[in-house]
Amino acid sequence: MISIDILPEDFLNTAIKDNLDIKEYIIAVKTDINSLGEFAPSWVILTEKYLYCISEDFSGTEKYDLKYIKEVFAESLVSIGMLTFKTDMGYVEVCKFSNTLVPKFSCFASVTNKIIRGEEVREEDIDKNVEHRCEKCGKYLPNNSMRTCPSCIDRKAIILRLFAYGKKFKVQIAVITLFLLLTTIFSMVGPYLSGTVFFDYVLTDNGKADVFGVDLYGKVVLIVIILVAFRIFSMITNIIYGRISAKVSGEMVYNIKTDVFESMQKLSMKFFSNKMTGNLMTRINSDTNEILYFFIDGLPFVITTVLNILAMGAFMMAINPWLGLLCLIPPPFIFMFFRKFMPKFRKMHNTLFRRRSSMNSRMNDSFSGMRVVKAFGKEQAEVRNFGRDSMRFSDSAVKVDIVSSTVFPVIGQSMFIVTIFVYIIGGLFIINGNFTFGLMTTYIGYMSTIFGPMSNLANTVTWASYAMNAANRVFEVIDAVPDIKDCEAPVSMPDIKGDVSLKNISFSYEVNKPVLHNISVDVKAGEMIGLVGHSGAGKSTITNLITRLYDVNEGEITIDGVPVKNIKLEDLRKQIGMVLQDTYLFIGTIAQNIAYSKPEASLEEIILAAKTANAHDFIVKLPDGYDTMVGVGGSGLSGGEKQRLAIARAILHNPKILILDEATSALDTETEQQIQEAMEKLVKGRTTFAIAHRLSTLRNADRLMVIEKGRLVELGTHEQLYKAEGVYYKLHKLQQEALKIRGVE
Amino acid sequence: MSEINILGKIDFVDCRDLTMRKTEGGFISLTINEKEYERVNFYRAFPLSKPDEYISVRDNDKNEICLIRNINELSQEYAQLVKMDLDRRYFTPEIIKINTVKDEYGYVYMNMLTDSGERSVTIPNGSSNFIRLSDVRLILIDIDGNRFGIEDYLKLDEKSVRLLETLI
Repeated sequence: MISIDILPEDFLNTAIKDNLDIKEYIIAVKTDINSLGEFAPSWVILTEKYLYCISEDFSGTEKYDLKYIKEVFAESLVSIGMLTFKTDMGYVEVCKFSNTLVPKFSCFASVTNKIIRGEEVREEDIDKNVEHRCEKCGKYLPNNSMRTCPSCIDRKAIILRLFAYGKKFKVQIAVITLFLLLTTIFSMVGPYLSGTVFFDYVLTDNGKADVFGVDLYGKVVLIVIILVAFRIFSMITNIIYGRISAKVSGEMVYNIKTDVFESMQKLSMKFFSNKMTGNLMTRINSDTNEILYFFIDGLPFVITTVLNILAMGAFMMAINPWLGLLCLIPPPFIFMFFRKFMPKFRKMHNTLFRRRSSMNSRMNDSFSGMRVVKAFGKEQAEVRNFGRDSMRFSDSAVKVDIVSSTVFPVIGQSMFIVTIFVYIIGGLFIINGNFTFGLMTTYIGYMSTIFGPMSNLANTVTWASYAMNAANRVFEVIDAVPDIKDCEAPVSMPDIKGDVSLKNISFSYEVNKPVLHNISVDVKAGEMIGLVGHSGAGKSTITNLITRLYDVNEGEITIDGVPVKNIKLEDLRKQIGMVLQDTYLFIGTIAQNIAYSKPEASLEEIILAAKTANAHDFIVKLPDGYDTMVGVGGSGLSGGEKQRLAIARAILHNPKILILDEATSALDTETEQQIQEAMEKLVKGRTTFAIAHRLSTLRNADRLMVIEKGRLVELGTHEQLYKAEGVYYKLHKLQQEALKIRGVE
Repeated sequence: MSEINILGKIDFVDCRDLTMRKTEGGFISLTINEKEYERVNFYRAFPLSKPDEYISVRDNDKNEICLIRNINELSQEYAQLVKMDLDRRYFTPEIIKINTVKDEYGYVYMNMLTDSGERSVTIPNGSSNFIRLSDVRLILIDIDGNRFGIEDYLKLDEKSVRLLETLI
C-alpha cells in the first residue's frame, strides 16, 4: 500500500463496519470540496477493483467498478479541479477539489490509470512532496522550495551554523566582544562623570573628596579634560570596533555567498527552471545581506542595549532602590507597547508601499506607452487613472503620518513624565539628605540611555526572525543535493566517437505531464539529424536529455553504447557543444567569449575559429577588435553577429556531438547565408542534432526526426518523408506557402 | 468617404437550434445541426465583467462549437444546465466574513467564512492578487489560483472591512 494521504484509523474502521471493502486500499486522497461545492472533506479511495468517493461524515458514498473505467482524468477548470473518468457511455464526475490539491489529484489519476492498464505501481510514482506544507505545523508554505515554515524553523541550529562561519575569526570576534564591553563601560562612565563626579565632587566642598586619593573640589578644568578624553577614547574604540566588525561580517557574508553560488552551480537545470532567476538572485543577494545587517548592526545593538540595562539597572538599584525601580519599571511597558504597535505600524507601511508601487507602475506604464497614449489621444483618461491611484496612495500616506505624528510624541512625553517623577522623588530624597544632585543627574542620563533604544529593540525581534528566515533559505540551497551527478563508478570517455542511441525514452518535466513518449532512434557518428515539429512538440527536450541537463524517466540514452548516466559528466559536457537561438555572451571581451569553453586557447586559435565562423571580418572592424567588451546580453552586437560568435565558440570547443537549437532563426537573408556557411563547416564530422523552424535550413540533414506531441511520428531523409506525404509533407507545404506570401523562398 | 469596416459579424448561434441533455455522469451533451457532442464545456468570454454573456461552447478537445450571446436567450431549462456547468468551472465562493488576517514574510494568511464554508488561504502579498472590479467589488486569488469573490466589500461587517482595507 502506498498512499498520498493516509486514511485515518477511525474512518477506515467505520467504513469497514458499513461494509465498504476498502481495507486493502492502494491509494487514497482527501479532497476539500464536496459535490455541493462546499468546503467539506471527502475521501477518494482506490482498491484493486473499485474507485470510491466517500464523504468524511459518511453522508454520501459512491462506488465505481474499475472494469468500466477507461481512463481517469484530473481536470483543471478555472479555479477548481475535477476528477473524472471515461467509460464507453461517456464521462463521469467523481469529485471536485480546489486548485490547492491539483498536484495530489494529478498523481492520483496517473497511479489509477496505471492500475487500470494493469501496470505495476512503484513507490517513486508517488510524488511525496506534492503538497507544500510545513513539515512541522502543517501550515501552507509560502515558498515551494521550503520544507518548514518561517515560524517553525529550527532557530538554534541555524544560529549555530551561522556562528560556524565565524570560527575563522576567533581573534577578531574576541576583540569585538571586548569592545562591546568597553562601549557599555563608557556609556556608564559618561553620565557618572558629568553627573555625580562633577556636581558632587568637583562643585561641592567637602564632597567625598578621596576619589583615587585625589581631592577633586574646584578642579573643573581637570574634569572637563577627563570628559573630553573619554569621549575621544570612546570614539576611537567605536572606529576600531566598526572597522573590525565590517571586515569580519563582510568576509563571513562573502563566504556564505560563495557557498550558495557554488552549490547553485552544481545543481541541475531542474532546479533553475523550478525557480525564477530573480528569486535566486534574491537568495544570493538580499538573503545574505539580511544576515549581514543583522550581525553587523542588530546583534551588537542588542548586546550593548542589554548590557547597558543590566549594568545601569544594577547601579541604580544599588545606590537607591526606590528611585531605581521608578526608572526601571516603564521600559518593559514601552517595549511591550512597541512590540504590539510596530507590527500594526508596519502593516500600514506595507499598504502604503503596495499603493505606491501600483501608482508607480501606472506612471511607468503611461510614460513608456506615451507614443500610444498620444497617438490615440488618451491623455485625459490616463490622468484620470493616475488620479485614482494617486488618491489611494495619498489616503494611505496621510494615515501613516497621522498615526506616527500622534504615537511617537506621546511615547516621548511619557519618558518626560517619568523624568519629572525622578525629579520630584529624587528632589525629596536630596532634601532629606539621602541623595545627591549629581547622582540624580547620572540617573537621568542612564534613563535616556535605557529608554532610547526601546523602539529599536522591539524592532530587532522581527528583524531577527527575518534574518533567521533568510539564513534558512540560504542553507536550504547550500544543502540541496544535485539530482544530476556522476554515478558511483563513472566511465571515463575522454574521446567519444559520437554514436548516439535513444532507446524507448519517455520524459516529463512535471508529474503527470509527459513531454516525450517512447522515442527510439539510432544515430551514427557524424550523422546530422534534423528535429522537426510544431513548437512545444518536445524537440528541445530531446536535446536536453542527450546533453544530460535532465535525466530520462524511462528508457535509456547511450553514447558509443555507454548509457549517458554512466559517462563521467565532465567528459560528456566537454564533448557536447551547443549553439542556441539566444546566444548568451558573458561579461568580458569577444576573445574571452569565444574561448569560454577553452580558456587556454591561443590567440591564433581564437582568430582561426572566428574566421571559420565568418566572424573575423566584423570583429576586426570594431574599434576594439577582439578586445571589445561585450556583456549582459552582448549589447551592441546584432543577432547575427552574436550568432557567429556562438559558432566560433562551438568551433573552438570542437565537440563530437553538436546541438543546434534554432540557431538560424530570425536572421536576414545575407547574414543567414554567412551563418549557414559557417554552420556547414562546423557540422562536418560531428554528430549533430539541429532544430529549426525553417525547414530549408535542414536541407543538409542526413535524416529528419518528425516529432508530434512528444512522439516520433516519422523518420527518414527529406526525399523519403516528402514522398510519404505524411506530417512532414504537410509542414513543408504549409511553410512554402507561407514563405511565398512573404516573397521568400 | 464611406466607413471602412473590415470587422465581420460574429456568428452567434440561434439558440433554437440547440438541444441539450444532462448526462448520467453529470455533464452536458449537446446536439446542434444534427451533430451530437457527447460532452461539451462552457467558457465565459468575460468571466469577471459579463458572466452571463458571450458564452463559448466547446467540445472536449476545447474546440469552439458555437458562441451564445446571452444565457437568457436559452430556454429556462437549458439556461439552468449551462449555469450549472459555468458555476462548476468558475467556482468562486463569496466571502461573507473575514476572521483573521496575518501578514507575514511577504504572504497574507487569511481565514474567512464563505458561502461554501470556512477556508484558510495563503495569498502572495501584492495588489495583483486582489482584483478590484469596481470600487466595491473584489476578487481574491490565493497562491494556488483559488478564487474568492466579494460583491460589495463595504457591506461586510466592520472588522472585515478594516482587515481588508489594509490589504487593498
